[in-house]
Amino acid sequence: MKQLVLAGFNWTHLTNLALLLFLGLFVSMLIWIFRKDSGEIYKDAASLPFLNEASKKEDQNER
Amino acid sequence: MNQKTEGRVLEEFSYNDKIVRQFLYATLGWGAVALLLGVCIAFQLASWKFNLGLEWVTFGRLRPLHTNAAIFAFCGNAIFAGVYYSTQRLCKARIYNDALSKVHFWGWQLIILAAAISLPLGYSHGKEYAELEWPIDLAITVVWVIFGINFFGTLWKRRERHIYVALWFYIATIITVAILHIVNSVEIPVSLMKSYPVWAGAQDALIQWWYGHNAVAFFLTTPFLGLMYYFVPKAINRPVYSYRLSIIHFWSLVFIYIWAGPHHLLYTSLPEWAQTLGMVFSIILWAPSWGGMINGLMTLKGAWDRVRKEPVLKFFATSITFYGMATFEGPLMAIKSVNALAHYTDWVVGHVHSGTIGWNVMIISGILYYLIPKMFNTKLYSDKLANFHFWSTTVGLVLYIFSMLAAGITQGLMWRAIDTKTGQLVYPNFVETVTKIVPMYWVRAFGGVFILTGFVIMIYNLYKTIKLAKKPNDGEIFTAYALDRSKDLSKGHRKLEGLTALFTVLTVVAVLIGSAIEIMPSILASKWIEKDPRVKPYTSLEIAGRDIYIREGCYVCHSQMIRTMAHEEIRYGKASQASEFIYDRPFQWGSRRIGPDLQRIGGKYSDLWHYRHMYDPREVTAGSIMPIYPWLFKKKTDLGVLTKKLSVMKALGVPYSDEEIKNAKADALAQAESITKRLEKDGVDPKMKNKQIIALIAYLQRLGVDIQEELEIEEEDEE
Repeated sequence: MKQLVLAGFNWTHLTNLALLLFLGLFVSMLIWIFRKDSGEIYKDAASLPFLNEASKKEDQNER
Repeated sequence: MNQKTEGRVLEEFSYNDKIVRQFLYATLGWGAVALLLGVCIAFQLASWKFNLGLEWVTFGRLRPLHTNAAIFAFCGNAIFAGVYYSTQRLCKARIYNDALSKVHFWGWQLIILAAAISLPLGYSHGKEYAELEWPIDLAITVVWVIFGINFFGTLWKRRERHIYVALWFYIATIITVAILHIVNSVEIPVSLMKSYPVWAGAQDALIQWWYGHNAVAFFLTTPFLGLMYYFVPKAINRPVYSYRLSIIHFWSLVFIYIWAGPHHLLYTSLPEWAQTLGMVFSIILWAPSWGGMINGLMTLKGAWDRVRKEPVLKFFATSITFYGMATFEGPLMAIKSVNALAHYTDWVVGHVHSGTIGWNVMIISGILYYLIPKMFNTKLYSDKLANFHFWSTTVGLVLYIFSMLAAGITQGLMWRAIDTKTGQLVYPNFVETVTKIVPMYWVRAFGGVFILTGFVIMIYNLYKTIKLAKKPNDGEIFTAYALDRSKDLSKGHRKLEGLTALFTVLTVVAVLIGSAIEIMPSILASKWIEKDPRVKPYTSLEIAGRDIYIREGCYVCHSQMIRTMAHEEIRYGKASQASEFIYDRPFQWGSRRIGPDLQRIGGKYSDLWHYRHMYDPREVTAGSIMPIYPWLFKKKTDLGVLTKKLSVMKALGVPYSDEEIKNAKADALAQAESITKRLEKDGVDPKMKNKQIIALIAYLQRLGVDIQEELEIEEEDEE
């Protein structure tokens, strides 16, 4: 049964559908990532390697 | 002691930098070994005499040692050093468990040592970058899991809510390498240092190159991208150019990279759909790779004067540039019509080294120059020496890449040249296409000397830096507020960056989609490869010979895969079919033709030809660069283990009868006697029958014979 179904499978639109799905997902990701007013969030995130250096004990009060 | 401030606990802790330093020293030591091995094998290709006639240092055994040392010893230790250093700082937490760190370090060094001993001794699995035998495979799995526990444990006890982009790449690395290694290493042991993979033929090829390609992706690329995202901003003291781009870069890369493996198998007997899928995704891969490259380079924007002066930045800028070039060239070579020319040639070797030396060695050098002075709270001993190292590596690399590009294109064009009047090959004698490129092998070898020299100078420079510095202060106490476990009000990806478990699951899903679509059909569909009743299992002596073929690393110079191309069929015979390999455990399709393809070598030459050829290839092929194999004429074939080998094969589905298994030794001896009798007429001592050369001849004479007989019958029928 399974093999019969597979043998008769000729839905050529599947590749187009996959392309649209992948492309759609990628474009939506782009739109979402570059959404308005998100600059601050990314600025904070990018500065993590610099904020992360935990304070040395002796100078913690200065920070 | 911890303190409470405004309701939040200020915690005290220290970093474990000792483990970072240990991995850094190991990186330096193994790096020199890997490069030295590379130079040795480069000279062995320039002149066969450098093989010294010794089995332990012959090209076929040293080449896997070089690749394993470069990837797992050199790059592996560098990854662990960089990951442990940056993860602790990005998480504001000491590494999860010091004891596990120690086990990780010493376990990994023991694995490398085991590889350094077992590969020259000929204990090889016969699959590129996965040559290590099953006990070492198991040890790799255990140590990798320990690394994983230590990493994820550190994430768990972190004091920073959101995980930075570098950590995402580390997550992808740890998870994916584990999946790749485990799936590709499923094997059944025959003895302490011998096993057969459960996968066979085309299925094994697909899984091996899914592994092999993604070893490049997830061992040589993603961890180093993580390191790039941490160390480049730190070295230049400014944030990454675009965090947005890093999000796109990460998710696209981990999703797309995993699909591209089949581009190593274009025009082979792999199903057409899998080949096309591999090619298409390789081309798509251009985008995320260049996204990452642009992000790295643009981080240096506006500071090019510093790049000119500071060795660390010089190495970083060059490594990212080479990452861009290598990831441009890779998809280009994955296009079927380009691959038709490039595959099996030195162009691929040049491409690989533009990645491993241009990207990996350069970025590792930058990290070493950045980290060691920083960890010892001092300055680099000599900027001049570092600059010399930089230029020595760059010049060596240019010599390497261009000589291999020229050699590859030359040989590729010579292979395919067909005389339009006669329809025959212009260069029918394969060795002509080899002797033509030997001058390029000399250029490459001297390029390697430049690179090795630079590296040794770096070791000296860093040694002096450490020697003149004070001892590092490992007990330094740091403070940070405990992780705020209240509800995270951020949204979208930012929120996800705080949910490490979910982040890891999504990464696994991204990696598994491509893997499943490519591999599952070949695993699940038992009729994926139609069986050809004329293809019979190997005899016991042929199995013994095949294992000698694997042991000597013949696959590093000879392919066993005739592609579906006119010039290949004229040169080697009918294109290979998937059904011919169903008993091949492991498959031996190879990836490079320093010598000709051997898929249909059976019956092409006499037994005596093979006998003389293995004793001294130049006796029968003038100008050959193949090493000599005198030990095959002295060492006895281990016939006692054949019963066990055949029974393991049977357990894996090879249709041996109980009788064949029981008589494995006697059958092998009988076949060896019949071969020796034929050789006896030409003066070969009959006592040679139990020597390894006879078993190897039995195997070589079997290659492609099943199908050849069929072709002859077809031709007779037509007459």
